[in-house]
Parts: sequence; C-alpha cells; structure tokens
Amino acid sequence: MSAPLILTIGSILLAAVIPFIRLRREAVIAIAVLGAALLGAFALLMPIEEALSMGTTGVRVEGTWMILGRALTLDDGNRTAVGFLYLIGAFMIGGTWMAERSRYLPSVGLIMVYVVAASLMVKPFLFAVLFIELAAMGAVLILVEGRFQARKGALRLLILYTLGMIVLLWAGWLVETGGITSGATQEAMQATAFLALGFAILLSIPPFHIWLPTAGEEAKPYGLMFVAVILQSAGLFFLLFFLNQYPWLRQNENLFAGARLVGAVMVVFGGAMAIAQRQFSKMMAYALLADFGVIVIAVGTGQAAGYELAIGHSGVRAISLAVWALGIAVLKQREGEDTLERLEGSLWRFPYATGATMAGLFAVGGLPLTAGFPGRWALMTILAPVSGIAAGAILIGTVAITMGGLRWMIAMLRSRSGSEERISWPERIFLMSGLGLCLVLGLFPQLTYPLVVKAGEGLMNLLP
Amino acid sequence: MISWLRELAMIAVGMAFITGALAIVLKDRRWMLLMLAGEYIALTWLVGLALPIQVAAAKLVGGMMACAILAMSVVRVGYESRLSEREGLPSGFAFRIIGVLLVSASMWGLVERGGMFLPQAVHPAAALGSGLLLGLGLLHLGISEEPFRVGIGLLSAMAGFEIVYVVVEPSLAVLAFMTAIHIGISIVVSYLIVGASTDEVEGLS
Repeated sequence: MSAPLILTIGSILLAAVIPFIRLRREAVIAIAVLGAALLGAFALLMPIEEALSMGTTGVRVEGTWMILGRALTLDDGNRTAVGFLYLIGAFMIGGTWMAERSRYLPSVGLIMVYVVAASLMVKPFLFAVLFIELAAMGAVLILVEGRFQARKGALRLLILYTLGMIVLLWAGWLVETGGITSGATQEAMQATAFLALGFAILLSIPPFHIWLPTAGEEAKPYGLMFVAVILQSAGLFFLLFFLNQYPWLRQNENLFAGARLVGAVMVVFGGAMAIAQRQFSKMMAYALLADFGVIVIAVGTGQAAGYELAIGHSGVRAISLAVWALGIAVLKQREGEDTLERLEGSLWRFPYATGATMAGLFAVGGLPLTAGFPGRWALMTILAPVSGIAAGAILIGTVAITMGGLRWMIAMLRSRSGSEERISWPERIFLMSGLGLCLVLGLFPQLTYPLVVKAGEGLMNLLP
Repeated sequence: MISWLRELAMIAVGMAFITGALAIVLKDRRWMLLMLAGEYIALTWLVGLALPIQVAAAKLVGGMMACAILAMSVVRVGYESRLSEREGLPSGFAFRIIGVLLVSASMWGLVERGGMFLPQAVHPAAALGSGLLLGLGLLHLGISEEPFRVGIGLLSAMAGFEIVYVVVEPSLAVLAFMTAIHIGISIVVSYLIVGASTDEVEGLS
C-alpha cells in the first residue's frame, strides 16, 4: 500500500464518518482532531520505501500512488509540509469545540486539509491547482453554513477560484510548451502575466480580495479564518513550487519587485481598512489581507531567508488567527453581534474570551512580544537595504492594526455593565492557552520557526 | 475520429453560441438548464475533434450529471430566475441581448486574430466555440449574483476552457478531474439554491 493512498482513505473515511457519530459534540470534535493528528504523524514519521517487519510478516509502504496516469507522491521533499498541514488542521478543527456550533467544519475542514495536502503531493505539480479548486468548493460549504441568505462572499470565492484555476492551468501550459529559458522573451512575458493574474486571484491580492470582507460580514468568524488560512497557505506553496521549478522565474527581478510592491499595498490597504471597521469579524478579514501582504513581501525578497520567513510566518499566523477568531466567535455567540457598540464593556463580562481576542489581534498585527512580531522584524531587517518602501509598509500596517486593536480594547474596557458570565474551567484553560501561545511564540520564536520552515524542505532551489 | 464531426464542426460552434446566448437571455430555469445541456453537447462535439469520441463522451455524461443535479434543486425551489439581487444593476432584456452580441463579436475577433494564445493544434471551430462559451460564461457571471445563474456561468466558462485545454493536456486524469469539478460546482450551487430557499421559508414562518 502507498502512503498517499493511506492518507486518502484515512481522510475520506474519517470525514465521512464524523457527521454520523452520535456522541457529544466534544467527543466528535476530539475524534476529528485525533484523526487529523494521527494522519499528520503518519505523514511525518512513517518510514517510506523501507521494509518494516511486523512479527512474521514484512510491510513496505510505497511513496507513490498512481491514479489515471498521474502520481500522488509522499517523499522527503513534501512529507514535512503534508504532516504540518494535518497538524495545523487538527489544531484549528479543535478550536471549533468552543468557537461555534459547526456541523460541517470538522468533516469538510478535514477534507479541505486532505485536498490541500494532495495538492502538495501531486506530480506534475501544475495539477495542484485542480485540488485547490476542490478545496475552494469545500470552503463554500463552511462559509455559508446555516446562513444561506448571506452567501455573496462564498459565491465570489467560488467564482474567483474557478477563474484562477483556468488562468493558472493556461499559464502552466504556456510555461511547459514555451521552451522558456529567459524571462525576457515574449513567451516568458505572456506566461508571467498569466501567472501573476492567477496567483493574484489565488492569494486574494486586491482587487481579488472582494470575497474576504463580504464573507467577514456574513460568515461565522472561525469558519472564515479556517478557510482563509487553508486556501492562502495552499496558494503560497503552489507559488513557491513554481518559483522552485523554473529558474527563469527566479531570475526575473521585475517579478520580485512587483511582489514587494503588491505586498506593500496589501499591508497598507488591509491595515487602513481594518482600523476603520466597526464589526470585529470584518476587521479580521482586512487584517488577514494585511497579514498575507507580509508573506507576499517576504516572497518578494527573492532570497532564501525571505522564503523561510514566508513559510514560518504562514505557520505562526495560523495560530494567532485561530486564537483571535476563537475569541471573536465566543464573544459573538454570547453577545449576539460583534459590533463595536455591542462589545462595549465585554472585558468585564467575558474576560477570558476578550483576552484571547485581543492577544490574537495584536499577534496578527505584529505588536512586539507577540507571535506576529519576530517574523516581521526579521523581514524588515532583510528588506531595509533592498526596499525601504516595503519595510515602511510593514511598519505602517503594524501600527494601523495595533491602533485598531487599541480602539477596540478601549471600547471593551469602557462601560462596566453586567457581571462576569461564568464559563467552564476547560473553556477558561482553552482560551488562556491560546492567549499564552500568542505570547510564548512572540518571546521564543525559535520554538516554531525552525520547525515550520522544514515544511519547505522540498524546495531545493529556493532553500539550498 | 468520425470524419463528419470535423466537417460539420461549425454546427457545434453555432450550437455553442445559441445555447450560451439563450442561457443568458432566458429567465425560466428549465429552459436555461436545457441550454446548458446543449452547451455540453457542443462541448463534447468540439472536444471530439481532438480526442476519441468515446473519451469525449465522458464530458457529455459528466455534463448531464451536472445538469441533473441542478435540475433537482430547480424542481425544489421554482422555475423563475431573478437576474439581479441588487437595485440599479442593469440586467434588462435589451441589455442582455446587446451584451451577448458585443461579447460574442469580441471573442470572435479575438480568436480570429490569435489573441487567445492558442496552440496550432487547436481546430479553428474548437477555438471559436471555446472563445464563445468562455466569453458568454464570463458575461453571465458579470451580470448576475443569483447562485443558479452563477453556476450556469461558471460551468459555461469552464466548458469553453476545456475545449482547448484537452488539446494541450489530453490525459485521462485531467479529463476525469475536470468532469469532477463540473459536478462539484453543480453540487455546491444546488446546495446554495436549496439552502437559501429553506432559509426564506423559515424566515416567513
């Protein structure tokens, strides 16, 4: 049996069984988390292409699964990325225990994680975009769950990702058949233009971000966070695979300058819009945009250190965003809405949820001593001699989101009305762990960055 | 390949144009679904210019499955399609006709002048049919935000793309995957249509 086949069967079986388990909600989520974590551990630790003796019989797990002439391959180049993806998926699915009553997120979320993992394993890698499209379909189900009238953001996501898939498949064909060896030829310029358009759609770069704020208004915050993190991470790895594969793309300095500029625009635009929002989940949507702008800038450095930071930051942001979204989801559940007016004084009524929310927000914004800061600081150090504009944009984005966060914090502290609502001890521990994680990762970045960066092991040409 | 498929390929192009255009102009969802089915017949015919017809027939089967899935949701929610959910967005009959004619003429011009960067191996009829379906699908997406119409627009645009993509990537895996995506889109769109109608009913009661 092959490892990709085991991951496929395991993920599909688990996702199919979860909706039918008649146990308490906590137990069902625990099964989903445990299943995803086991699949992650399998991808990370299982010896592949080696004979294992099990008593009297020997077992050999193959690394490749052929299907209709194409291959899904789990090897040393991608197993860390696949494993981490499942583990981050398990972490985020675990948050649904407190976040919101979601019927679909544990099962559809698991399928999304599998499909994105398959996009990392498929050979030729160009077909990864087909898997990302499948993940986008799953995202629609999560975004509209229970609120079908509020479906505009989900529909926009489906439209954009389908068009993005078409553009990238076409770009891939141009690249494959053009015999391109230099970025200066007409074929290369055509292919680069298609690639830029396709990735702009996939990475939600403005103006193709329009689904995000709309979904921020309509969807449940935790579901939105899950979808955005999974889809944007898939897009990032797909982009890195492209850069890794084609030297003429890596030598195109204009492409990197463009990425830095676009990233800077994302950071400033996202930060400016975030500060102006009066609905917390919509603010999160814009902060997501600004935060991903930092990753785009990191890729735009065109240096190994920049790629490492992009990968590392994509792992850390999943944690910060999960904590923020978890806090918002709890507040929205208890208060009914997550508007600035409604959340006035919420710190006194829901101190744990408010604390987790603020810690997540400041970590996403990149405030010093929080999880988002070390990556930004390191990136600014690299950028200073290359692009002062991009470094300045990161600083502006950080200040903007932090100011926005302070505005919300003041509102949450303002009127001391109502008494503290009691929540259970496990819930307190869960929220405080999230808050603590945002601080610990800020104080000790060496705990996560070197580990997460291993996800890029297969990118031999980018990370020699 | 059956030779008459190639000789009469312009009929498939005409079919792609008529069905793609009527899918935008009409308002009754039953007729729109029939037009979508017609688009899939045209798609199969034009894909058959590059692939063995037995393989191309898989597109027809997949397309009909997508139509059937959409039909089930339409039966449940009713046949009248709203064009625009937003006030002020132009979507009248004359606007749609003019839009269809402009987009079709543009796509024709684009294909004729080689503006779509198509490979030499693509049959001229396939190129034109592809351009028309792609353009009309995008127009459909541009003028409506109603899930049913968005679904039809997406499936049309994808059908247009596939006509030329099978020439450059004729592998079975990609063919199967693309068919799965057609079915997936129709499932997601049906889910949205039925879910929204359930919400409306619950809101009224």
